[in-house]
Amino acid sequence: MPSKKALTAVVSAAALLAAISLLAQAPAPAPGQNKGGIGLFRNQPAVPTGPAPKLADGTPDLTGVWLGGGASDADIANPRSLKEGSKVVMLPWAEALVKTRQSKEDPEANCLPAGIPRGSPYPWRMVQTPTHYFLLFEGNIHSYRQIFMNAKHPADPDPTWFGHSVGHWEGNTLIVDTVGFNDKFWFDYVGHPHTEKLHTIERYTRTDMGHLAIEVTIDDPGAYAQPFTTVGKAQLMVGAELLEYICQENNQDLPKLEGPARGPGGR
Amino acid sequence: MDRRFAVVAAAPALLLLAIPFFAQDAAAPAAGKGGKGGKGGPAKLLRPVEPAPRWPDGRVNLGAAPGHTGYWELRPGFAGRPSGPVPFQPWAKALFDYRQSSQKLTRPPYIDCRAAPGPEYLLAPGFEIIDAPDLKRVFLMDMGGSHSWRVIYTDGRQHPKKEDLRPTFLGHSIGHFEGDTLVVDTVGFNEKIWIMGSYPSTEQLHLTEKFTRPTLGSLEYEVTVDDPGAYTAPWSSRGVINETMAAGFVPNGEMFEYICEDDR
Amino acid sequence: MRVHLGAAIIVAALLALPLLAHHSGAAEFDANKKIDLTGIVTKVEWTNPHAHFYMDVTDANGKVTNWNLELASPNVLIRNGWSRNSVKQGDKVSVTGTQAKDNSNLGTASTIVFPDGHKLNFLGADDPAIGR
Repeated sequence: MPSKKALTAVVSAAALLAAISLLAQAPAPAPGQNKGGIGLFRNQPAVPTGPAPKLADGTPDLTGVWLGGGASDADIANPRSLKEGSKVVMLPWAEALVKTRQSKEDPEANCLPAGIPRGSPYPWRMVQTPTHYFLLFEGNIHSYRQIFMNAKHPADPDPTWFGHSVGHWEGNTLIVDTVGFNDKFWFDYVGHPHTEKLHTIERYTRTDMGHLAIEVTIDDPGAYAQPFTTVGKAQLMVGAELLEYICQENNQDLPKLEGPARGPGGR
Repeated sequence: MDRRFAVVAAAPALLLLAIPFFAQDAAAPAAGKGGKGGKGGPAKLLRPVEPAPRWPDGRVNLGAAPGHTGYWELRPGFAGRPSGPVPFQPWAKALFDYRQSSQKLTRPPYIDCRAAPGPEYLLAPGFEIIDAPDLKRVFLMDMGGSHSWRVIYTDGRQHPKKEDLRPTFLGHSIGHFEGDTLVVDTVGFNEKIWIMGSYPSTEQLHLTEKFTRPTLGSLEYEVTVDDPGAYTAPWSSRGVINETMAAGFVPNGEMFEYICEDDR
Repeated sequence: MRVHLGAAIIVAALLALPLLAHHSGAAEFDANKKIDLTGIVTKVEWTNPHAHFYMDVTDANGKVTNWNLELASPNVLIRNGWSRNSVKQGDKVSVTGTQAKDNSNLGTASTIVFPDGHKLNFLGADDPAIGR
């Protein structure tokens, strides 16, 4: 018969895990908290509903300051952020690697880019020009991604953190196809890896004024036995501005990180 | 080795070495007239002179024309030398001299991947301007340095009140157009930045930048440093890119990725 | 049992939510090492990726130790009701939180209470209504 202490520990751990999986979805506020909150931010203007807007030329308007929508940055295999029917099945080398990864090796903790599709708890902005769409990030390394509209990938792209993205519209959905990744970023805190064979397909659909549905199909035959798709829903932060966030300013934590790579609350 | 990587790998070293070698100063020629180059003597046009793109209301477009792309390639930088003697306060002069004396002991913060303001933003390998009148903003996309973005609000807003101003590396920028010149006013800097190489600054720093685009391939830049905490008077620097220079506007070119932190 | 569940959720919420930021908080701080300190603020770093404040804590023997308390990013704090001056040098505060795994004088500031009773926390200026 387990001791009361052990039982308490088990229940606490279970509660911890439950809370983490709940909280790992950046856009969803924890129960009883954040009335009018979006993600970590309290007392935000209500997320509007109403029809999704269009630009003057009829293209869906995705511009705005958004929060969330990325895959779970705690663990990409979290079923709550996977599309129905998707499974994250690592190849043996990848499984073995994940078990050895240490928290302090996480490039994100080293002020390096989070790549695609790792979400962040900080807002981001979409800017649309006729030829390029830009994603401006407040968080991570306060950088940007370019999407070259109606363009082609180069034959042999140099491997980069954010890859080479080309976009086109299918109806009201923006499809962004990206190749040319390096293999350096982690998909999440747990340390899911990928290779330079990674090919992502993002689908952005503004379902109403305040919501942007985002699906990301991850296809990396070098690390995963089958493609899988993450789902997320970004919320519009009305009236918000992106603030500055310079990761290198005062990154004190790196030398203090101990132990294996894991989600924020631990496992 | 790919040319691009040679450029970016050299960028930090270039910056440290190249500060005294900037040829851009107040004597910059009128761009687009096919006339004299930076140091006197006739300069050859390396690219054809084309008119600057404009918005339907006639206002100059600092970015790419709709349907086109393009960015400003820089080798090594844009405005790096004051136009005249710098009116230092004594403490600032001492600090400047110290920074100049040893590049082993002192490093500009952007070498450590921190975002850098004003002219420091406009360094090799280059930057792109997104002129977005619909959003009432102009964005400057930095390729080198911290590979980050800077926003200039052109919606008529004022700076936050002093007590609400949060000191940052890039400050809070508001801009308006005077004819074909974007005038940008920035306050709210922290004290972790260096200006134009080794020049000190305080939280009182107030930068005024002017961007003028006389032709598709030319950009004139003037920055005024007004920091009563470090200098006894404002001082300026100017830079020009035009069609006579080896590096300049790359029409239909694309920015590439450079991640500073990865390069350390 | 209920009390323990509530405590676990509060700890998880305070630990997990903000530390989605840029590293795994559980890799740095130990949820079982609780701290409860009262002292005088000596410095505030209003920086990313985390704001920090430092405080001198005097023990029963008169020995003064300087503690480094970590907060969420100013980008979160500002949006949640803090200003740069919500904690200032010279403030006397009582702090509860968790300590770094390496036992150094470093911890998270989960709650910060001022002499007049007003409270701040790791994420913002309101008391979290969690687990109630």
